[in-house]
Amino acid sequence: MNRSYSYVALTDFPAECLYDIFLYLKNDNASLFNCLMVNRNWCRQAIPLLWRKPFRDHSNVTMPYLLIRTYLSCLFDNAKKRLNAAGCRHRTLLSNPLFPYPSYLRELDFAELDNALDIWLIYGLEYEYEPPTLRHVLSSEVYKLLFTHCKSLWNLKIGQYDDDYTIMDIAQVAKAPQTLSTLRQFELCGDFDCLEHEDIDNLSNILTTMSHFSLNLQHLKINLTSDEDKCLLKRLRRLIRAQSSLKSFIYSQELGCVMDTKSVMTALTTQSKNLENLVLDVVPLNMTCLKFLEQFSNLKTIRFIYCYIKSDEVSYCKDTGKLLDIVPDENDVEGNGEESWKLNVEKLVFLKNNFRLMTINLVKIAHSSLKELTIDHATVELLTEITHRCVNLVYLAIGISRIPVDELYKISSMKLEVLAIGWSLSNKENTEDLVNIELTNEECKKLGKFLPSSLRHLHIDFPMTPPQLDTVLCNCVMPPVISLKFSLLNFEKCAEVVFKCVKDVYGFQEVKITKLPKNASIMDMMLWERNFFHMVELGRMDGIKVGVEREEPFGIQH
Amino acid sequence: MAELKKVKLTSSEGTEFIVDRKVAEKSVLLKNMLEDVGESDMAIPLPNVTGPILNKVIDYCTHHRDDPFVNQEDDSKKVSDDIDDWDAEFCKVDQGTLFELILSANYLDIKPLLDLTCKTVANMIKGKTPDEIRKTFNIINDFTPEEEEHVRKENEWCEER
Repeated sequence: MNRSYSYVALTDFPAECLYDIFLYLKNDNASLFNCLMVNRNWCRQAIPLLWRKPFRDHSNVTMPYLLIRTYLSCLFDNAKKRLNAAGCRHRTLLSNPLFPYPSYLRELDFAELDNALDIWLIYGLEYEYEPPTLRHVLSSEVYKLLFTHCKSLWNLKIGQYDDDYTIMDIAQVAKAPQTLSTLRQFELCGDFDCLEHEDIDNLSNILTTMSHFSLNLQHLKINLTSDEDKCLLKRLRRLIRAQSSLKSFIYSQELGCVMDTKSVMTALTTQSKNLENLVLDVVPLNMTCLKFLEQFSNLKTIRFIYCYIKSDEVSYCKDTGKLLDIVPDENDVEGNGEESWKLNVEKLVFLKNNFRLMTINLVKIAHSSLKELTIDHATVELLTEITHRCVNLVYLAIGISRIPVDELYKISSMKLEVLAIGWSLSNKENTEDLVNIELTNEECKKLGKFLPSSLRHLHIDFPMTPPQLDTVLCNCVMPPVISLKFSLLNFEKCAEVVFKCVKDVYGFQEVKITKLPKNASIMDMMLWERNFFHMVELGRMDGIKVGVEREEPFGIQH
Repeated sequence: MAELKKVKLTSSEGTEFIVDRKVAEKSVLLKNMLEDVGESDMAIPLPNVTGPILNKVIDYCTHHRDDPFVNQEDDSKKVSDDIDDWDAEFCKVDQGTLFELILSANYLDIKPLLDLTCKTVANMIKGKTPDEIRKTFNIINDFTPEEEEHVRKENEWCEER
């Protein structure tokens, strides 16, 4: 420790500096709680942070009860009277709060709030039965409280994956437009087919209000499981068109049709100057829908996940029998390879889609603008297009199960900085067209030799046997960073191979080990951790840094 | 090779420091001042920063002189476990110095230094009880017992049990 230069104490700090410190504890409620109990000044600074997203991550079941209890103390007297009239005799209604807690709310998920209200009803009532109208009055008063007093709501999520829930019509709250006007992020995800008409109407009202007042959304995520009458879609399109600075749009519509996709893409063209990230996740597509992307000038990333081709589709509304969707031009469903338009985007990701030709055509029309590309199941034809056209590509994550290793020589001429290689990326995959069932020693040798010498980071995203790993690493120009996936059984031997191959390499920086998937068993997790820390120790003795690889090049999170 | 432009800074005690303009410009306050006054040999007085602290601030800015400017308005990205080795060593100072560095970074508007020092203090707070925090930072509890109980009750939903 250096000597002390001064006698400044934390108590002399201006409020904004103390707040800056507490910001680093914003996801650690227990620490924030301890801070607010320190003294009055710390309390004033910590409380707003603690109450920004109070419904998140409750580690025990009484927490939501205690939370709602405090919110109820914030109700105005007439609201407390209404609750009392509905049968609530809770003593909370007699107290007044020290702080205006609802005003600090920044993030709200209707599902989390409803869950907290349900828990309050279980633990909060002082008698054994629930008065019939109490749930509704309670919800109504708490939603009203939050949407009236919240000063700066940033994130809102509506919807649940459940067959029994309701949606409160917060659009009826007088100050709701003002509260909704500060939103930056909105997520509409859930099962909407199970909602009663009244709840659909409430949701429609909210979306309509938002399309008038929530004009500065930066992130919009929509997952419509079902929307037969297109009433939600219509309002969502209006909401999209109303935006002034939408940067990220994530869209899923499992049971949708191509015309829905097309209509959403048309609405999205109003954001063509601002939109940076587009995720199409479980969306029916064809090349005609995607042609709207031609107009976007600022796109950084497009991710296609579980998307599927749809053509020549005719569907009718179940209730009215009305024709909903026709796509006539089936010849150009995946594109003809002669598209005259250009796609300006820096990063393309294709994972778990059911189309191949459209992938090739999209890569062709994006060609030199592409800097990063991820494809889980590449073909020889696609690899040829990538190597010929994507001259500015620096990051390539590629599944090679369908490519004979001999063809991988094409990669060697690329100027890649990062290469991630995947193999056999899906358990459900049809194995008939896989050419690399098991990599032979000769193939591993070729794979090593074909790796570009420009690489700064090699990521092998499948477990190799120690001899396979040895052959690849001994035959490549070793990049400064390698990421490897070890099987739990071969961990020790793989580690030996890696250390042997990298320890005398000039400029080598780090071996990164890929973590197990989140759904791995606790036993496997423990085994992995033990192996990993053992490897860190061994690496330390050889002067080699060993770390954890957190990136999942073929992961479908977004 | 073109001569690097130098800037004179004067600490609160009048000690003069000569630094590269690029280093001084890590401070948004100094950058704006330098742009406003143009070319000048006049020393810029920094009455709120003592010599030893200014020395540390210059060390930090010199080490990070080539870092890209990061505009981190979005506080959702603020995490406290990403301090690199040099920065961690830089922050191994006594509390008084650390707090003065925070105040100076705030005054001089050097966002990365403010972030680093605030992160360091946040890490000192983590895992401590209110009483331990008071002892660590020499803070007096000015709550009345009733107030303390009231605050605890309203916020006990997040108390670790």
